[in-house]
Amino acid sequence: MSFASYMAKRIVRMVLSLVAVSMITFTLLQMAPGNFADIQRISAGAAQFGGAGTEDMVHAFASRYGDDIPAWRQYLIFMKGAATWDFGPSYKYPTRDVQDIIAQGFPISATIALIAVAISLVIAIPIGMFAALRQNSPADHGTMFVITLGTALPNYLTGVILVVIFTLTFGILPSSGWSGPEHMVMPILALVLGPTAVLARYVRSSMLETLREEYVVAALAKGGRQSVVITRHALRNSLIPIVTVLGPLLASLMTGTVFVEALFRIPGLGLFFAQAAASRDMPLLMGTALFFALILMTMNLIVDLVYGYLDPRIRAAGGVSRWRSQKRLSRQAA
Amino acid sequence: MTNSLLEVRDLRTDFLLKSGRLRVVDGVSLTVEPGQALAIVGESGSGKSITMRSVMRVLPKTARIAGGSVRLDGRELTELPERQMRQVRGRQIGMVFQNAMEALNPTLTLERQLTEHLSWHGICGKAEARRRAIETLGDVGIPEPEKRIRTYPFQLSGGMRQRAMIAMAMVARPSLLIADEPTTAVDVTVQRQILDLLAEFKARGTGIVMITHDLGVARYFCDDAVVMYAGRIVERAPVRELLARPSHPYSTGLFRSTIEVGGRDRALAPIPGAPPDLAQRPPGCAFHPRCERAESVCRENEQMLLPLTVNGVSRGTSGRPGAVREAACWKVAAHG
Amino acid sequence: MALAEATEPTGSIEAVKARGHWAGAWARFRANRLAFISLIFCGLLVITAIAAPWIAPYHFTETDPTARLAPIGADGHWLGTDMLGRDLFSRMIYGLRTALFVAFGAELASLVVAIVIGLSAGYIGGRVDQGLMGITDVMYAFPSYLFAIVLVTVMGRSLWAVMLAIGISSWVTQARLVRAQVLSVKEREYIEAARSMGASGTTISFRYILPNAVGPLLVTTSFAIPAAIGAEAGLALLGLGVQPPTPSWGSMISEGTSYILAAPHLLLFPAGMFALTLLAFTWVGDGVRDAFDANGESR
Repeated sequence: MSFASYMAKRIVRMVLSLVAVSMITFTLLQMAPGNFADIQRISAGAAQFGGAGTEDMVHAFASRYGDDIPAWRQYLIFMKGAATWDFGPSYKYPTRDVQDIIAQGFPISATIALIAVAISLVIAIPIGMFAALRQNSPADHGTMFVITLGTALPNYLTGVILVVIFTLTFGILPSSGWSGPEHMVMPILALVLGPTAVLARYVRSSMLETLREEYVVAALAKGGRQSVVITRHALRNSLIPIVTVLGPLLASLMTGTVFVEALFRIPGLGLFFAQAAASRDMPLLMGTALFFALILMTMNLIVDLVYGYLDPRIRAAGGVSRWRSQKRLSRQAA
Repeated sequence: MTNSLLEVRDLRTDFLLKSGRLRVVDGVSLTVEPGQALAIVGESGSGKSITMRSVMRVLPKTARIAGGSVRLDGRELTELPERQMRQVRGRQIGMVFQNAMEALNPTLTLERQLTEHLSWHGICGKAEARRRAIETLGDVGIPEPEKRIRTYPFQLSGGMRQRAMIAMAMVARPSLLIADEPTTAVDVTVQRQILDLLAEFKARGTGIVMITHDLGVARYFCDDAVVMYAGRIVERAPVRELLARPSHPYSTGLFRSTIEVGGRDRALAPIPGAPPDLAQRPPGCAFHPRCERAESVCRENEQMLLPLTVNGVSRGTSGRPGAVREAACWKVAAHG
Repeated sequence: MALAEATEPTGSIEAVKARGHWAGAWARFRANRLAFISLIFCGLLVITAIAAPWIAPYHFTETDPTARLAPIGADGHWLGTDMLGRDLFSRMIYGLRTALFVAFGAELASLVVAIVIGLSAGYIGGRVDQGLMGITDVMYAFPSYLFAIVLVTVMGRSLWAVMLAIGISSWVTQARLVRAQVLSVKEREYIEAARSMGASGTTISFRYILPNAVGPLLVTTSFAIPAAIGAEAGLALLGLGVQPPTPSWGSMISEGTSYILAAPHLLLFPAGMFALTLLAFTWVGDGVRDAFDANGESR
């Protein structure tokens, strides 16, 4: 299978999944109590201060979600707009279009999430490696204990603990807001623990598995120094599969931003999503949900491509899934 | 007295378990001369692989050499500092594994894997290493070695992969080659080619230890054989003698359970039972629960490995100088 | 020319193995001290949650206007009160009740759905299977938390709605697991034998196939419980959880952060108890996984 057709197939699947996500979300939201008219009545006050734009806004809403338009048409209008990056105005912030809110919030969330994932990688790889090399030592058990803490505690709870330490006890970091680097420390730390735990656990088990591989023994039997064999043969090969957890990890980070942003009152995309849900802001909820799904799928695609690039076997087989099935077949044959 | 290429004396290796030490190699002695091949024969779990890994000191984390001596060209290896031991591995002793698919790193090119230890040992520079790697790939019968050296292991066929692994072991021209079941994982058609290839190296003076459970491989290829059971040597003999007249009941059992091409008249008789759990080693001769000739003495005491003699004259060595014929069995010794 | 392998005894060894499997798992679990203590602790939590009306000194709506934001050790409120003068200790107990009710309910619901769908997908195959895999693909593209949030938005904020939202967003993994188990045992000979003797699809599924999946399901479920407890609190933290005044640890933590300087105990106790509960359930999960994975290194 050529690379082009592989990509084409992946992209078609992505689009289909996005359509499915949008349909599910839209259908669910249609069943929710309260429609555009109700919401408008509630947020009428908010719509007032828009001033000059009010007339246009009412028209914009009516042309998209008016009572005279059947639900399926509303969906089509929304999707037609979405395809051209125009999600229309938000219920809660009627003076702003959803895509503008996304454009404002996403860079903030992405910054937090990417810094968090970078820090996790830097911490988790040495920790996991060390634990694997000293398997069953006190250091290994200690690492595993910290890893359990990291998997058990949700990021908002870690955030609360950080607030207790840095705001309540030492009073050195602000507990909410988003205006300077001091506001970034705790949210990022809160997000780091979970992914670090997941990654470290993965690195450890992947490393243990690789250390048992015969090619590691073979390299030692060629007279390789242990450190050389570990870095040249074991580390590289045990890190390749880690690329595959990055996809789910980014997904969990993305949802993580929802909670952390709510806790620290950071105006990122996650906060807008949560607010949209709380205030039943259908366009904003649809828009952000679709955007999240799009980001997630793009990440997964990139991860697969990187994985294929790193592992020559997958490059040759034409994709991760094909490689996996081939590996399975060869195992069965052996 | 001149030194043998490899001389192992009374080698003992333990596994460290939670419940204590478990002896998996127990008093193994063997000798390999240059240009000769020794077969270590036994079922899986008999300790044959661990014996040779102890020689190379490439053991699992939980294994320790508990005693004995390993001499390579007269130099004691068990007490060598790790630093010097590394110079022995790959340079003086090469190792060939059962499955090249597993023993070759899937994400590195053949070039990397064939040349890296040449530079580790400071044998030669990069360009020279590459030249030697190509030459060795040609030696093992890989066509177009200049081209193949850039490929990854998975891009080769099973037979080619096995050859590439042998090339990896031989590129530094070691004087001793340890081959751990090198033909078990390959097709029958490839088996013979691999053995012929190894025989070529043997003819050039490389000493070879062939770990195998396949008596056919041993006969085709090796001069001498030791039979291992439950971590100990139970019989030692020239291969032809062993096959013609196995004396230990376990050797006999191995021979009888072997399918031989063209030997349809002979009834196939698998050895009943399974190899013992070393943690619960049977008292006396470890083989007695599976032995049809076992008597009360076999259940109580273990016989040492003793030379087979007839009226004080050692027998069954085909008259080859230096050849030894020994067995550890009450029944055999009684007849001796 | 190769050695014949030692002949293996045949017969109804499957049954013996199965019993040994369970007993061995339990013995390994017992031997894991941390997991065993955690299990006892979780048991106590469950009992407390069930017996909340008898254990809690006050009802969770009962306010004491004379004692708002009372500190620890205040008269009649040994853990103090919140901004409305409600007893913190009582609210924490009822919060536990909410958390465990939602978590166990959600996982039970998701387990039932997962088993039914996983079994039918794996056993019937074809279109049903493709349909399921299609759904799971979509669900994988849509983070389950976000899906739960959308669902709560739709269904409202009753206890049942929150439970259902969490349950629906977590069944996919388990359904895939059941399906994989079915596919791995489907072609075994004893299934063929049962089929040839006229057993129906349902009988085969529940009598022969499902028992094989119980171990792995137990492992995933024991990890899903703390995840669901966390999800309940998380939703509440966002203001999308159970409708007040029903207490939830999430909303208590959220309120606690607002009074962090005036009354830090409002944050510390719920957050601490929440963390302890999550850890205990996770350690039980770890213990269960290690018990079923005798080699101990699969993850």
